[in-house]
Amino acid sequence: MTARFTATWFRWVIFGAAVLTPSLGRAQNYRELPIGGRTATMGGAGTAAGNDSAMPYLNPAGLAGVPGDIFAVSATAYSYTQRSYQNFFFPSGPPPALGYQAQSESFSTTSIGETPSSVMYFRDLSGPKSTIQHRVGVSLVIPGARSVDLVASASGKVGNGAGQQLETAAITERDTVYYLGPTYAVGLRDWLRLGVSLYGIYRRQVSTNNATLTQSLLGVTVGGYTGQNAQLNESLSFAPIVGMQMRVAPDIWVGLGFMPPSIATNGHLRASTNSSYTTTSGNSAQLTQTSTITTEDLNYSVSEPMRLNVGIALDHRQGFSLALDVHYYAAQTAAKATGVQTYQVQQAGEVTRSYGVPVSLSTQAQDVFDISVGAELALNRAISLRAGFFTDNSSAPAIGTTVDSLYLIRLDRYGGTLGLGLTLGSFDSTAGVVVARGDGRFGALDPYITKAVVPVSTDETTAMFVLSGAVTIKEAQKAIRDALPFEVPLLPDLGGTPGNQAPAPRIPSPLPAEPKPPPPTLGISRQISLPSPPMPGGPLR
Amino acid sequence: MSPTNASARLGGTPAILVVIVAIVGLVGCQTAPSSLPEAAQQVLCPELSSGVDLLQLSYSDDPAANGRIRAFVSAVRGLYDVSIEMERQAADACRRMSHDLGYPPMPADAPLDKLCEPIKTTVAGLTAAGIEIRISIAPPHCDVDADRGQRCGSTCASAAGNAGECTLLCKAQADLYARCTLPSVTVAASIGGQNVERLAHTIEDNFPSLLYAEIALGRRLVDNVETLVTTSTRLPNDVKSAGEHGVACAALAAVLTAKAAGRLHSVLTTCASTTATLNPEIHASNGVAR
Repeated sequence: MTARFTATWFRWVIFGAAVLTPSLGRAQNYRELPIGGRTATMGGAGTAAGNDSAMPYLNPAGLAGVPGDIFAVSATAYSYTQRSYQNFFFPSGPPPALGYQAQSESFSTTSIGETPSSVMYFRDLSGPKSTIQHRVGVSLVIPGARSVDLVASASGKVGNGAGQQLETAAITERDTVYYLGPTYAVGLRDWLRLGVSLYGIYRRQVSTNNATLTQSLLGVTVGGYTGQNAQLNESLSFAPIVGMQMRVAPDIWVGLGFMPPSIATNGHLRASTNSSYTTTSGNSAQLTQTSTITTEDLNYSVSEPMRLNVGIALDHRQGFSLALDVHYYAAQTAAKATGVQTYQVQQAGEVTRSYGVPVSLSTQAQDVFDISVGAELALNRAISLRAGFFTDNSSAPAIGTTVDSLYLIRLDRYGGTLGLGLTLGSFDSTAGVVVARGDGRFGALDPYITKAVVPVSTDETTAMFVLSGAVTIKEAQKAIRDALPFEVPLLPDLGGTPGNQAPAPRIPSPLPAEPKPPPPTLGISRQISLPSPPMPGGPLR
Repeated sequence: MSPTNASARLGGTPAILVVIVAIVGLVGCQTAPSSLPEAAQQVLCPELSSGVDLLQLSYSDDPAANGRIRAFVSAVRGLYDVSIEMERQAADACRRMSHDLGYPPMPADAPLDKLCEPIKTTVAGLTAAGIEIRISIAPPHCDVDADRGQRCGSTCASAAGNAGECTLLCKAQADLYARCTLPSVTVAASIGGQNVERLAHTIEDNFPSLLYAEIALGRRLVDNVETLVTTSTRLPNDVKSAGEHGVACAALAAVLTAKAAGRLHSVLTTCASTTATLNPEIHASNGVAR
């Protein structure tokens, strides 16, 4: 009877090996979040002539085209993602030997996110009439943020109806990369812009996995597995980004952005796993439980790949604009982890064994080419319509059949954007929708038939609502003062006026009071001298 | 007038004027907040709400029209800001006096006449009881912003054939941005007592701000308000050659003129009636209020 379930041994061993192996990170797409305002709603095409909050990351030269002192924010206000995986529990189909008859299966993997994708503050160091325009500022850009929530279960009859099997899986992942640093840009007349950003890059990945499998026969548990894993990866690296924009003909611009591979400085991978499986022992039908606890505190580093993006644009802001970008990301070793993984193994009736195993892990990223195409039609000085298309191909290697590929996703994404740009006063705002579709492969576990990882089809559809706004410092100050429910003095001048233009004159405050006049003459003969008031202003007469 | 002529006249009106009049008319018929004209202002002439000096901006490719519009919109902006400041000064003064006299606080959006009612009621009550309260006033001195007037004159120089209008608009700006001293007052009463002293103290402390609003920001500028109102009735039609944007700015500035003039008149009326209850004695020897 127990021989019928021998196959599950292999499943649990493979299952355990998979859960006990630290993950080096799974999100390997470089353009997951739309950044900037105008750029985001033009499919991400802004290398040649963009000048919004995407520029410090995409092409720092674009900042030389920013009009005056600017504070800008763009945010993926809301995003909704739905994913599907084909045959998650039985990637090669139910095992015939098990006599599995599915009874129920549920699968849910959706996620909702809210993420600010870029924030920047820039100062204009030169006047609007200057031949050479200087801009300096600081920005925070989040080009990648992935959130995965997966909950699934499957139950069915085994052993020709004599037994029952229940499987569950729950996976959560949060993977975000932050670029923070200063940018300097210089514009020569109105035809050449150069810029450089120096970014500290912080990447953070948090994941938890929980999986269970239980088998029973005639109401008696004959085996099972349970495993939990929690992991935090953090890394820091540095990289400059340089860029150039050049006007080669009236309204025609070309641009180039370049980032060398980032220099990883430090990071760590901390994980802890608890897994246990219960099996029947030989022919005695006696249950044996084995549990394993592992902990890792590994040195971890991630290097962002070399990036080269080039673009060309017809940039006629009062009419029709068109932009095309090509992005190239070079292949490289993306992440490394080294250290010792400690094991503590307990089996009923035996002494606990503890030991350490040196681990050295790495992941490879492949070459990636992406394109962006965007268009803008200005209906008038205040309203623009925008649309775009983009690709976001994966750098992950092809999903294989070894345990290295377990639960890995390789998704090649593409999408479209639609947006509305509004310019009210000096305030520029963008509202848009980005819809992205991804198709690819997922490394699912198949312990029954192939006893290996099996790539299965997976797809992902994401809808994002993008909001961005840019405001001059003066407008921001005015908005803050108007919003406050009480009178405030002038806010400190953080940034001068747009384009260094003279500010609007203010109605002067009263000058010091006139000397006190003599007391008035009362019509009634008796006049009272009032005592001096307690407040400044001189005595009452 | 025949129907044909009527159509011809409508066709000759710039479309932007029709839109602005429609928007302003729509809002004028409702009690809704003024967000709609502000939105129209931001879309059609964002310069009016920008934080920069309107004298240095350009509104039209036609130099003559540009000069006239520039002088007009910058003067209107000054008038609008003065009317806001005037209302704020007067409201603050009345609110503080009400507080000192022990009246409960009023809502933040209470109208000015309501805010000033307590001081008037208090003085009227004492007067009815046979107590005489009078104030003597040292009015404010004002120095006009001559530099502003000159700068306006130089940018207005291109408005050939409209020198008179240009001069008046630039004089208005010099007056609007004048610096004025705070008036001072002295209170006398025919009888003492705690209530009278409390009234006298708050009048000496706060009434100068109300007088500043009334005299320095209100009465002194009445001639300039008339100049701007008169200009606002003809300029948008005079500058049809200025293009859509220039006409929009002129038309919206005309709307703002009416709004500012209305506010200024209302505040001035309230201030004057409040001052009148105190039977003021103005000491012109201390300075001449312009």
